[in-house]
Amino acid sequence: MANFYYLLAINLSLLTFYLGVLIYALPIPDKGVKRWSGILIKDSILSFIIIISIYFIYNYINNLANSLGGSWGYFNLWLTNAITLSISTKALLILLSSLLTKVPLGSQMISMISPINDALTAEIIFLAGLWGIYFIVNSLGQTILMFGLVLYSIPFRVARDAGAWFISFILVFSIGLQIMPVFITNIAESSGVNLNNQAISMGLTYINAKAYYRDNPIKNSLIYVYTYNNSYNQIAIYKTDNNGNIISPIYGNEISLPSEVPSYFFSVIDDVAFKLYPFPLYPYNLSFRNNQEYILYTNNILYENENYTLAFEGNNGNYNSFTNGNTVYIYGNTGYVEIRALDECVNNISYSNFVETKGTWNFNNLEGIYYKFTPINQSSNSYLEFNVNNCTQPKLNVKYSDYANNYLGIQNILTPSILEFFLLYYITIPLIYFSLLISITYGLARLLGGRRGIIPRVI
Amino acid sequence: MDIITFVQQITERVTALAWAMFLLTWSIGWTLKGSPIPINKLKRVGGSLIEDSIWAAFWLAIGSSLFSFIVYIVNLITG
Repeated sequence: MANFYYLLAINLSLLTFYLGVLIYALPIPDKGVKRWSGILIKDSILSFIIIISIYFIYNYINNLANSLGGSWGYFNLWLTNAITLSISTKALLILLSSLLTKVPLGSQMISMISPINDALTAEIIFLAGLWGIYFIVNSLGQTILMFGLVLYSIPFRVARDAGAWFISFILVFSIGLQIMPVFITNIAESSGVNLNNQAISMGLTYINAKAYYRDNPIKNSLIYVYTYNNSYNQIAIYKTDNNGNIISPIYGNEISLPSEVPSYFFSVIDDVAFKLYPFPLYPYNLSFRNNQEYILYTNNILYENENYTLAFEGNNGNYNSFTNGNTVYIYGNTGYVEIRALDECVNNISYSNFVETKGTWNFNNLEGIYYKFTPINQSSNSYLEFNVNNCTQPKLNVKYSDYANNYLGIQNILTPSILEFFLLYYITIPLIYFSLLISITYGLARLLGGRRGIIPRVI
Repeated sequence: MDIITFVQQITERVTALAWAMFLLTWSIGWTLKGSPIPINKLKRVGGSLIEDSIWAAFWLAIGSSLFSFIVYIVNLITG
């Protein structure tokens, strides 16, 4: 279809040219009529230039947007997050206001909520409009651009204004929308705007992730998630199941993370924390439709099972391990090896070239023993083996927290920062940016054509 | 007949008509300029008609060669 419009535009341009020539050749010595010949020839040359160059410009637009830090994926992520967040929040507010009608002084409290509710309504309408524009530009962009060229090339400037508008709208919004999240994030994070970082990281994304050590799943471990802004800030506590899947006990297999800042993952077993790599995990290229599974890993764990039996190396140890039935074998040198287990979960520990120290550990409701093995001779190989028992699996008493649940929770909705966040991040700055794009579109349309077009006047 | 063929047919007719008009205008121009009528204004009109017709022929030649070549290439590229 786009090719059809492209050919039509170029043929119309040629027709305009020949009409101009025909008027030139008319045997009528009237300057009023002859004036049109020059106008038509110039118009056709201009539209020829635009038609030929626009094909290359349009195909280069995505590269330009990427080089400026934007992408359709990023915009899609931002928009989906914004719509999901605002609709969820509005649903919660409506629920809250309906509950408040049943309590004394409820109507006074509802009147406090209603401005937020109005802001959310405006925001949802704006975001839905933005989604419509995104759909038009992203899916129908090329067709509309070519249609604009057709309008631009019609003889006698019949639809030149409209054509120039179509062309500049697609060109400007194709780049502008892709860069929108970058622009908003940069403005919102600048020091001149009093928006706290907590609020910026409110954008949500959901991922499927697995935790592994040396190609084995980390079973039944706590997963602590942090963001970093001068210091670590804990945002969620998840866990792994017996297949290593990181799950949110509140919601299930998909875990929620902030979409605009990186997340730092730690696996915590028996009061020992292991960094999970990639450290940090950048969720920037994720989207809601992304079914890809992310693998997080640590190489410090030598053995681990669902009953909180753990063996790991420390202090730059260089150890390997393998299991045979219930027996775990560990060998290597330097650093140290530590075994942590609940009572009765390991026995028959034997070793060579190690010094053993022993102690106890507590982690929430769990209590156990640790054995620390330091090599006598750091440079020569040390060996260690122990048996793992089928001890009963205790239940870890821990309060899990889900990132999305925390920040979409009713206690956070009514804080000033959240209102500030909604207003700035999803209404004010996008509206400023949107009006900027409209102004640029108008400017480009004037540059391209119209009765008072700048380029036509120069030519 | 789709709209592109329609536009192409009109363009061909306009081109043929423009060539015909060039010949007519050029002839009328020389007729007026060379006529044994001692009116300067009439001769000037004849001269301007010749000038216009020559410009028209120039643009026709450019259009028939350069622009038609561009259209031909674009047709090849876009299929």
